[in-house]
Amino acid sequence: MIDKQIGNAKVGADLQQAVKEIISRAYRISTDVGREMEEVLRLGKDQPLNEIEARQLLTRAVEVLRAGAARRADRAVIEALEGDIQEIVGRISKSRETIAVPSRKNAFSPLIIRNHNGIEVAPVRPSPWFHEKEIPMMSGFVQTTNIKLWEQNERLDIHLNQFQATYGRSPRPNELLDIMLSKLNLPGIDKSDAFEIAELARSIANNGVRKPPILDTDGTLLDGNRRVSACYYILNSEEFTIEQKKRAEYVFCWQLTEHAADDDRTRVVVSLNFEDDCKEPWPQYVKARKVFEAWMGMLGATYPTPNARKQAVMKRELSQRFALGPNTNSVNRFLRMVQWADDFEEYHVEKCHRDPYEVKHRANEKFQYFDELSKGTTPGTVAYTLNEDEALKHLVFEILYQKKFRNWAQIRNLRYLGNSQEARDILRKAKDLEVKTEDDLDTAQDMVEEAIAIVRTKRAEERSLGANTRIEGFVKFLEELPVKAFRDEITPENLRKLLDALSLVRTYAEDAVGEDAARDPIRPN
Amino acid sequence: MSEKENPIEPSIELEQVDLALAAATQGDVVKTLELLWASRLMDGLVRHVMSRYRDLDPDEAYTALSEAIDDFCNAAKKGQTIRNPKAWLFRVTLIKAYKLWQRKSSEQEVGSLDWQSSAGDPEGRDDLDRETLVRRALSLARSYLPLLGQENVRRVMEFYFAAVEKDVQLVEHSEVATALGISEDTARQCAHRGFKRLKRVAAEKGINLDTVIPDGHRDDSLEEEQQ
Repeated sequence: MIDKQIGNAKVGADLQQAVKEIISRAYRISTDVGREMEEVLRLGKDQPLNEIEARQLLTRAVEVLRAGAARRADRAVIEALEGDIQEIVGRISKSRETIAVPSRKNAFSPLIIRNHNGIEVAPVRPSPWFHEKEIPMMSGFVQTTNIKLWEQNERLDIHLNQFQATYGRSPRPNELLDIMLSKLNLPGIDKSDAFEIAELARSIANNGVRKPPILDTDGTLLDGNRRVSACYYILNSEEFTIEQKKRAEYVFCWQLTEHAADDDRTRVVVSLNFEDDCKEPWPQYVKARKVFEAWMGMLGATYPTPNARKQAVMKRELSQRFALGPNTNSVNRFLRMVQWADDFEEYHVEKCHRDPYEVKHRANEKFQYFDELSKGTTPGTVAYTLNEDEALKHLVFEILYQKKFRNWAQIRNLRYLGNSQEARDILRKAKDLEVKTEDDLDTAQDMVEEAIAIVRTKRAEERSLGANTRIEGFVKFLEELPVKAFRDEITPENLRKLLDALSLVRTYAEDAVGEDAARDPIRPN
Repeated sequence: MSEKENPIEPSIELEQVDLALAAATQGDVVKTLELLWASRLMDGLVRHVMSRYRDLDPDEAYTALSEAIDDFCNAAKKGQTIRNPKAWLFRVTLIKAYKLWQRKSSEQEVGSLDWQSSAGDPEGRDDLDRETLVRRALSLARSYLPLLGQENVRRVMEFYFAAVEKDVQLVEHSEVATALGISEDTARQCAHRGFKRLKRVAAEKGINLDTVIPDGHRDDSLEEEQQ
């Protein structure tokens, strides 16, 4: 409890000194000593103590340990250090030769699986099989922060060689983690989350680690680098709640027993990385439908109909529930896609009287296309253009059903179709073309491509033809704009964009009209 | 011996210190000493202490390290969390060496407040007086926390004071982050800001922390960048 009296009173010298010492200690315990530690280790290696110094140090250490044990009445330590001190010192000083390289059989494993949450360390039953051999294992919990990633992981082969070439050494455990989290800046790695740790982390945050990582007897991680990295990610990210962090704090692992041979280690790695576990993820169509149904359920259970802000909160909950991340992007995308898939299915079943399941299969197969189809709510976007023109929408649905789009990128250009009768005619011909052979399909796809090429060309022409009208309009608008709008209304970002655009076109404009004419018309030469 | 010829790679040395912690946890002091000795960390720490406190003779440097090892074995055996045994030993050895150096050079500026041990108290203050003083000092230091602004900064600083109260020797940012449910980066930034602001608040109360928290401690540009 804070002593308010002393907090406000004039502080005496002794108390000042004590406060100073407390803050000093708090500061010391908070400081990062990583660099100094490296220096200490280098010193130890470069300037080792000589034999006399070593004997003096170890003798002093044993004396101090004995005195400490006597003060604390620690019988075990007193007994362990009983006897001729020089003999003990001699034994310790030999350890540098005898335990230069810790072996896998070392009794003091730095990572020992343990009981946690009432689950005790126990043999895995039945013993798992790896690459045609039964390999006994123990199961138990390990604190995530005690697990070191496996630097021999073949998944990281290129990264590790690149790191070695760049820094002249192997990465340290924290650097290995940075590689897994794509935080380490290595040339050629563009992807922000190359190992897709964030997505896995969201799954683990909700469900815990489902498949136990596998540890060697000395704690080396033989399988599960991504899972452990994801747990580190959860512990260090503000995206997750305390409950979720707790779920990632301890990991249920399997560990090889002391009887494991090198061949067993190889089998584990080969089996888990080369042999497919034949797991097929759910199609996006199925996932999106699940999210959609859940959303409908949430809306149905809320009265009155929630406003936009409340809906955003509900969507965040939904996103969390389905492990789709902290924002609502994926949920919104799924909802849009399902709505368009529904339109697609309704058209083919109700109007074209096709078999509902056949239609569903097609919607599933082409589900990614609905992402492009559903984009935009304003003029000039695909969704807006198609929603404004039912005939065009149905034409597109037909072509999609008949698999006559070559790729989803073509969908993007459909927004320019509205004004081009020529392109529409070609699309209609493509739709009506009966496909009996692969060549027929090729021809139809070529026709779709041609229609899209036409609208793209026309679009470029239109942009160029409309330039005068647009510039006239913009100049008039600019001249009539009150000066204070620049100060009060237009955002700095837009002002910067305007300046950039003006400086870009200035060069071309000057070239076209001649430098003299381009000079300030108000100030004559 | 050149680096290439040395059979002990740095990673193995580090592993031996981890193994030493495991041995200390099991109460095996001889094994702990063997592993620490094998790791060469002891050589490095002695060399470091002697270059930092040049007035100390070798025997005093050995004493500082030995006392740190004794504390290490005792803390590990009692189940105290030691996340980074190398850093722990480094810090405690330096504290011990500093106190020895202070006693030797008769500079009583900061070190008269060793509440862990009543033996050899230079001012002869008894345990009760000392405990009362420490308690009051902690209360006073905590009374400054509400003046530090952001809630996270206050929470992080409170965590450090709690650690001091429990005589914890090393608190890593990751540990603070896990305990408070914030990211490691946030914990680091809050500690940085907290000490900077604490220095300012303490100065307003007449306590000069210039020798404790240096100007521009760590990376001041970081804070400006964040603001």
